[in-house]
Amino acid sequence: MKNRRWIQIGFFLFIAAIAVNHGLTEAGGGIAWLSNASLHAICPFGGVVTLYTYITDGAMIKKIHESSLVLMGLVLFLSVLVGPAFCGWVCPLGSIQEWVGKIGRKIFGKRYNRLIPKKADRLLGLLRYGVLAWVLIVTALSFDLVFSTVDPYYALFQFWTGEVAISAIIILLAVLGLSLIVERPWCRYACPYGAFLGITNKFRIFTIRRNAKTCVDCKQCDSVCPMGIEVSTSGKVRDLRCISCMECTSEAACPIPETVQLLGGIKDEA
Amino acid sequence: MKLNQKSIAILVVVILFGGVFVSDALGLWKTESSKVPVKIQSGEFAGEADPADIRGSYTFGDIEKVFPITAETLGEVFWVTENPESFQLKRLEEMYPSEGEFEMGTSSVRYFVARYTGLPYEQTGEEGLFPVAIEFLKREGKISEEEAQTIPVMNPEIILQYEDAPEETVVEEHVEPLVKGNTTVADLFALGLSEEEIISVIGEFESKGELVRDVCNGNEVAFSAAKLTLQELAEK
Ligand code: SF4
Repeated sequence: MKNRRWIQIGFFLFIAAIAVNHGLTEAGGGIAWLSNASLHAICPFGGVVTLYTYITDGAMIKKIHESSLVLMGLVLFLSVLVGPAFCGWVCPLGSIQEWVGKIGRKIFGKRYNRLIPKKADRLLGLLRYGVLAWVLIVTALSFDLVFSTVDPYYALFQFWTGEVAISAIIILLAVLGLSLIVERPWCRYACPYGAFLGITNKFRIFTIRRNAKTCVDCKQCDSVCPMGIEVSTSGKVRDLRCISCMECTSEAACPIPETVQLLGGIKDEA
Repeated sequence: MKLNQKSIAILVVVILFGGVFVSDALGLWKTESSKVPVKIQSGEFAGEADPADIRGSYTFGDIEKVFPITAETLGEVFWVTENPESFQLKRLEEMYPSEGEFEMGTSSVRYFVARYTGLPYEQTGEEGLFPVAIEFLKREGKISEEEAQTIPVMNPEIILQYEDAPEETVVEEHVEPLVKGNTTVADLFALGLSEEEIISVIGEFESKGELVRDVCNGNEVAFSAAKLTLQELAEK
């Protein structure tokens, strides 16, 4: 199995175990050697939404703790270096969408990922920035974690607790259902954290580069990209949606050695 | 320079886990609010934990760690018999319906801790103690008979009501107050109150994250009266 799969499975199980342990600890039990932090405490997006109140009021919004700010800083550092690898390698909500997508690929074959026209797909991608703006504004105004009422990530790891808003559960089910026809629908069209991290694609140090001289234009890279990016027409992938999954590279889908690679440096900007 | 899948895997693990490890070593990794009240800033008791900063999210066990009073004692005087160490103060308000302007909640615990430890505490007007707690303070020599007369007594009947009544009846009859000790100014905005309305009742505030009670205390406004007015405005 590929490195990425192992990392995704590892983080998925790790976060699930912490979420369960948190519940057990609140009920008076729990596993002592495992973290019992709340899901909010280990979510780096919490750091983004509380940043405004932290700077202006010196206060964290309810349920968010300093650990979220630390994680936000670490993920941002990683993203500036190699792009939003957090989305492609760590985020359990992204992973589960990919896994459900594998079933979709089996059902729809070549039509998978092609049911939404390219132009609509690109336009819908901008929705993420609307969601990001909405979350930041309502959080700053209300001092409350409003996003948790629609957050499918929270629903995924807390649905059994009775603390999850029904709206978040409906969105989670819709996202998993849509994953059967399009890969990572939440990441493509709605994730505010993906939108935030995606900005680093514009200036990240290591980027995905295609060598036009050796490329045979087979478009394998386009068909495997989980975010619907046309790698075959790019020299350097600066698309806001790239999640640094490395699926398009010569190590994975690209059949020609050293043609699509993750390279550092600022030369040959395309 | 070229990076492959393996290097990304290593970077992800090293940056995230290494970063958490380093931040933990530096004391920056906090996954819950610290359950330690702020210290009294000035006067005879400067440097001691301030009972006024005890929060609803604290358990009796958390109080035991900071103040010289056991969770068991707190359980006894607030009639919490099962597992007092892990009992969260905010549950008191759910257990005991408020009686007039008194509320058997976090402020009552703050008040009891202050009387027991001899630390200063400014009353907000909503504190009250059960007779068993007042007797305990007298027995321990923490208050005199005269002082005992000045402490607001909560009617013990509310405990009997609570214990006798079937659970559903209690839930049906208990109307959750909209403004409580842990209500923030932002919560008032969320209840639909305008800035002018809020200022007219509690006075000027510095940030929306402040507790309404703290703003009232700072502006010398009686919290017990303010919360009733705010409740009326919110229900308009
Ligand atoms: S396949 Fe390539 S272009 Fe698409 S998200 Fe992954 S790394 Fe980025």
